Parts: sequence; C-alpha cells; structure tokens
Amino acid sequence: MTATSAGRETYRLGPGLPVLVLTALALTVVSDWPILIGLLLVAVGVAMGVVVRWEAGPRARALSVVPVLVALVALGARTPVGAVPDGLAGVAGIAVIVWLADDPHRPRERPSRWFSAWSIPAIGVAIAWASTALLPPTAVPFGVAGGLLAAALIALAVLVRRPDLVDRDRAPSL
Amino acid sequence: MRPARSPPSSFSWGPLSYLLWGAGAIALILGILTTTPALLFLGLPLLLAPVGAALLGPVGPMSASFEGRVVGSGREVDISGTLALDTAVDPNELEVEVRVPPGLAPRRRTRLERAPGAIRISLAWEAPNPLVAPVPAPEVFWRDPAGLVEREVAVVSEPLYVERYPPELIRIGAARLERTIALPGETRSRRIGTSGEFFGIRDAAPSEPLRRINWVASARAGRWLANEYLVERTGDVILLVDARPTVLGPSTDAELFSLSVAAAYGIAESFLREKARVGLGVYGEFLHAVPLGGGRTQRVRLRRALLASRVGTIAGPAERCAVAARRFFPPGVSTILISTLADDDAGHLVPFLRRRGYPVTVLSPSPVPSESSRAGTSESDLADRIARLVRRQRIARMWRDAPVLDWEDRWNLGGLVELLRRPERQRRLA
Repeated sequence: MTATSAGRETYRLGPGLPVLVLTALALTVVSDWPILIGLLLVAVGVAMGVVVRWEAGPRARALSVVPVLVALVALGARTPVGAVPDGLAGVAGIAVIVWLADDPHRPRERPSRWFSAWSIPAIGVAIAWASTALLPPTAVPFGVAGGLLAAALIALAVLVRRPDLVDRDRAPSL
Repeated sequence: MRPARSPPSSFSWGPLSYLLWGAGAIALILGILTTTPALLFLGLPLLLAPVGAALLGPVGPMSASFEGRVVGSGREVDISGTLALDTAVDPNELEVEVRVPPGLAPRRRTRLERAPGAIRISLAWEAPNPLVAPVPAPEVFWRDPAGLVEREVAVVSEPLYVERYPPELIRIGAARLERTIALPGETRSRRIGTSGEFFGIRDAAPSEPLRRINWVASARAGRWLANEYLVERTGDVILLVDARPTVLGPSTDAELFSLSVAAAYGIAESFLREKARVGLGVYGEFLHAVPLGGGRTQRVRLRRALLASRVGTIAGPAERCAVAARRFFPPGVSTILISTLADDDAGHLVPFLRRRGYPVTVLSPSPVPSESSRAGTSESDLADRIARLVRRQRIARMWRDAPVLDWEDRWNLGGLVELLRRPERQRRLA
C-alpha cells in the first residue's frame, strides 16, 4: 500500500544550503583546524547531508542532519574563545535549522512560517551571545550561557515527559 | 452507515527532534569538558529548535470532516471531496496524505485546492482489474517547516467505496433463476423491476440499458425516461466464493480472490437491483455465510462480508462446504460458484454441491494471465501455452458436472451472462 502525499510546490534549492555552507566556511576560517582540513570537513559533511536528504527514504531522511552536525561539532571543538567565533558557532547552529526547513521533499513554506522555524533558537543564541560579548569578560558570560543551556535542557525534559503541555484539550463549553 | 474516524488529534515529536537534542547535549557536554564556549553556542539552537517548533504550532486538538464521492467508469477511478476544517488553522500549513488501497494505482498526482477553512481534494486512480475496495479517509497533518514536530488532524469521513466490475454484470440480473418459492408458476410481485407488466415511467439512470428507455416519452419530455415494470418473478441466487489456498501461492491467490470478490459483488448488486434474494458463502476452512436476503440492507451486508473475507490459510474439505451450505440455504437455489479451479481439489466442490441439490454454475478467474505477466522470459510463451492447455483440459472435465466460464479477460463477463440466460444448457446438464 502506497500513499500519495499532496502539497504545494517543493524547494529545489532553498536559501538554507547557501546559508549553511557560508556559516560553516566562516567557522572554518576562525577555527584552529588547518584550512584544508576544515574545508574537507565542511565539504564532506554538507555533501553527505545533501545526498542523504535527496536520496534516502522518508524514514532515513532525518539522518541527513548527522554528518552536518558531526562536521560542525568537529569545527567547534577547536574554535578559540572569542565573541566572533562564539557568535559564528551559534549562527552555524541556526543555519542547520534553516537548512532543515528547506527540505526538498516538503512543500515550499511561506516566508513567515519559514522564519518562525528558526526565530526562537535565534533569539536564544542572541541572548547568550549578547551576555557573553557585552558583559565584563570574567567567568560570568560562560555561566550565563551555561545557565541558558541548562534551562533549555530542563524545559525540553519537561516537554518530552509531558507533551500534553503543548497539546491542551479544547475547553469544554455548554 | 457509521462515519469512519481517524484517531484523535495527537502531538508527536519527530525523529529529527531527538537527533537535534542528542547532538545538542553532546555539544553541551563537550563544551563544558573542553571549556569551549563555541560548542555551547552551537548546541543552544539545536536544543531550542524542537521546543520552539512545538510552541509555535497550533495548540489543542484539531479536527476536520471529509465528504467525497467516487466517480469515473471502467478502469478510471476519480475521487473528489472537500475537507472542511473545524479548527482555526491555515489550510496552507496542513499536509494531506491519501493511502492508495491495494489493487489501485495513482493515475496522476493528487490535486489540492486550499481555500479558507477547507481543502478540496481531487484524486485520480486507476483500477487495472475489477475490485471492490474501501477508500481510506485522508490523513491530515500539521508539521513545522523543519519537520521537528507533528500534529495529526482527526478526520471524520463518510465511508467511500470503489466498486469496479465488468459492465456486463449489469445485465446478469435478468437471467432466469431456479424458482424457490412455495407456489409453482408465475407469481406476480408487487415490487417494481425491469421486466414484467408495465408499471410506469421514471427518470433514466446514466447506466440504463437502451431497451429500457421509453423513446417516445423521452422525446416528449426532453430528458431520458425509462420504463418500470411490476416484477413477476422472485428468484434466489447463492454466490459461493472459494477462499481456499491453492498451489498458486499467497500473492496470486490474493489477486484472484480480489477478482472473485469484485465479481461476486457485481453479480449480487445486479440481482438485488432486480429484487431477487441473494445469499453469500465464503468458503476457506469453514463456510462463512450471509443468508438469503434482498434490498439495500442486504447489499450493505454482502459488501461488508466480502470486504472482510480473505484467502484462508487452511483448505477445508469440499464436502464440508456442501454440508454447511445446507444449514444456511435451501436446496434448489441457483448457485454461482466462484473458484479459480487451480487444482483438482477445487473442482471437487461442484459434485458435492450438486449432490446436495444446488444447481451450480462456475465462474473461474483464470490464473494464467496473472502468472504469464510475471514470467517475462523467452520461454514464457511455451509455459503459457502449456498452462492454458492444462487449464482447458481441467475445465473440460468440469463441464461434465456444471457449466464453467473461464474468466480470462478481466473486464468482460459477457460469457457468464449468456451462460445464465440459456437455461436449456443447465437443464441438459441436470
């Protein structure tokens, strides 16, 4: 039994891929990896991700994000401390979400909906980066970012345990 | 009939959410262990994205109702309908998936027209072979743009069915049936039908045979009108579907059984339209029967029984079927046995039924077209010829007990109609 899925026009090449490649390249430039190795990491990770997303079946398609994340984590692991590298790492994380929202097998999204996919992560990164870059350069910024991360982890743990918190029943009425 | 309802609206995290959380947690741990803030910044959006997607989506259960109809003729199956959304959600944010029932193939891509509060769905399928199949309700989902979370919309739908069988079966209801009523001779019924004493005129259906059209009245009225008659006869017919497994294997058995179901339904519908009583028996290991009955309710009963029936895993002995049939049906009723006759055991059913008093006519869906299309080798022609010869010989043997129609052209059952409309042949056999 097969299923026909119907929707609107799909992406052929959305803005997500260029955004992801550019931010990954920028992270390569600021990281401590030799430039060739960095470029190789980006090229292999992104290419594998794109190929898996185009070719894999619906179930395996989610795995396309794995090579991209591996490449970015490898780059981030050897990135020096600083406002610009930290910001670029955050932007790279957002770029992954933007790239995910450009799924070629899914209908093309309206700009407002597409924007909403990455707006909340972007706000989180912006707050964390601002607290790092604008507060005095002591251990505090690291603590702020860590605190935000911890809060996010707690929030997601609660939501995983209680998905009904975001899936409320309609209020009964007479 | 009760409308079909999909499971209640549900929220679920997509597999991508778990992947992002895992990657974010790894980045967090590595960042803390190696005191690298860049990893923390990298992990933060990965952890927040699923939560953000869940918060941005519509809150609360979503529901919709689907009303559609099946049109088209022959192999073409066109389904059009409207999905009315009961929830305030933008239709552009919803994805619609329609499962294609087995035996049907999509002819073109599903067309959707999104309007405020509703989605119009247009499906075009093709039926390579006759079949009777329910059309599943469309599945409707809200998904965030990145595919991180999913909410299913509960869809309430009136049941729709695809009913495709050879067009000749429309005429089969006019065949003479063995009389089973207590009084012999012609008995006038008060029911309206297509033969007997003239009763009146009504609007003609698109599928009306030309001989029923009242041409003079149609010319006067400017629209097609057909004659109606007082039915003069009351016949009973039993449809017996052989659902025993054969040497052909499960997939071919299932394919041929689907054909048998379509034929049985087509025959039943035609006889029911002629006000005859129709009974059904599906014989696998045991006989599952729907007793003789008439009218629309019987049509629904028969359809439900046929759709619920499957090829059995164990073949029951032929005599058991004949013995069990006597518990449900009176002897002497015209019986149409639908069996592949793929092996000699299948043929044993006919003499047992005759001995129990059922005048049998056999409709046998031929396995040869199904088998030959799968071979595809250079020797397939020879194999086909041998298979046809073996089958012809088996059917020739069967003719000693009952008239048999070898059903090879899937969309043509004119032979069966002719066979049933020539009672002299059946009398000769009796």
